[in-house]
Amino acid sequence: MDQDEQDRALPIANVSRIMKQILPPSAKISKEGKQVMQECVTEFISFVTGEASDKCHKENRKTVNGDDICWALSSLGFDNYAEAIGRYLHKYRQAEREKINHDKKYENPHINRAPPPPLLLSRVTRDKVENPPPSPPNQSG
Amino acid sequence: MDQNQHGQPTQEAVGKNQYQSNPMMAPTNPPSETIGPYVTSSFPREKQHAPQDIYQEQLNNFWAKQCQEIEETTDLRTHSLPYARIKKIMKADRDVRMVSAEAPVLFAKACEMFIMELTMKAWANAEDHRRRILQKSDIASAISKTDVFDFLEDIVPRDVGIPRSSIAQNFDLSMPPHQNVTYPPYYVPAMVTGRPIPDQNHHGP
Repeated sequence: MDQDEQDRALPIANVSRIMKQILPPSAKISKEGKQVMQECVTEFISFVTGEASDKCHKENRKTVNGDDICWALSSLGFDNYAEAIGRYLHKYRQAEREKINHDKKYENPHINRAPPPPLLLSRVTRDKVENPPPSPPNQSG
Repeated sequence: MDQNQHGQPTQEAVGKNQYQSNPMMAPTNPPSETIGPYVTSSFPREKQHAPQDIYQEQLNNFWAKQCQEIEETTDLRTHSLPYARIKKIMKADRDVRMVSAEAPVLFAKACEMFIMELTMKAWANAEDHRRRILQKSDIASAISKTDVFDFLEDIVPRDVGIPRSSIAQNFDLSMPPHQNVTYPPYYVPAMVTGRPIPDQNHHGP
């Protein structure tokens, strides 16, 4: 397997480690077993990606996103995966929003200042209300 | 077959695991949740139920546990598969133009579950044949038994998946269980493994 082929497959050490997580401690895995699992999981990515990409083309979109992956998994019969990955995507987007808010807070050092004089209190209150972005949680399905 | 059903799990465990085992399995010591992610390694002594029932139970537990782990996860950055490599595999498809940042993250989790599910089913096959080494043929057998894995038939030709070869049985038993040993699962030229016993496949209790 040359370097280019290796780059287009998942590392066999990572694959092997995941296999061992689910097997009893006394179990062994043959080298061929690891290699064929490596090929299978790489093919899994290509298979699902192809399905997701087709959907993007039909809808005239250029970027394959998380919803497309979930849809493709369900479309190809991987219902358990689609359900689990749907939850995962929801959690991921939540984490990303929290990260953005966290960054905004530290970009603006004035937020942490002492409270302003009483004369300007009403204006500050109005600004704070406008700050949080109105983004409802997105349910994929 | 029960193992071919991937949709609509019989147990809906949202946020909490189902610790109640199948009542039919009660007399045969159902697998305990305290074992954790390991598949039970011992075959039940009394074959009162088909192995498919036991493995289906393990599979249901597996998926319930996956959903639970996702709900409880706080750090989404710990992954066992590299995002850059996943993205490269995705972009090997010429029709794929751009990939959002979230796609490789989802695939890392999906691939982890794929590897574990396929390994569980392959191990069930190895146990059926009383082996402790997971072979390529076990993975091939697991693929042939599961409909959604049809797309993998080209990777593991069906010939390799033929089970119950007496030569393979003898060969596996004669080899020491070294993990790094590389050997074909069914045939070694010029190696004498003794006379194959036709009754090798029948294991009595």
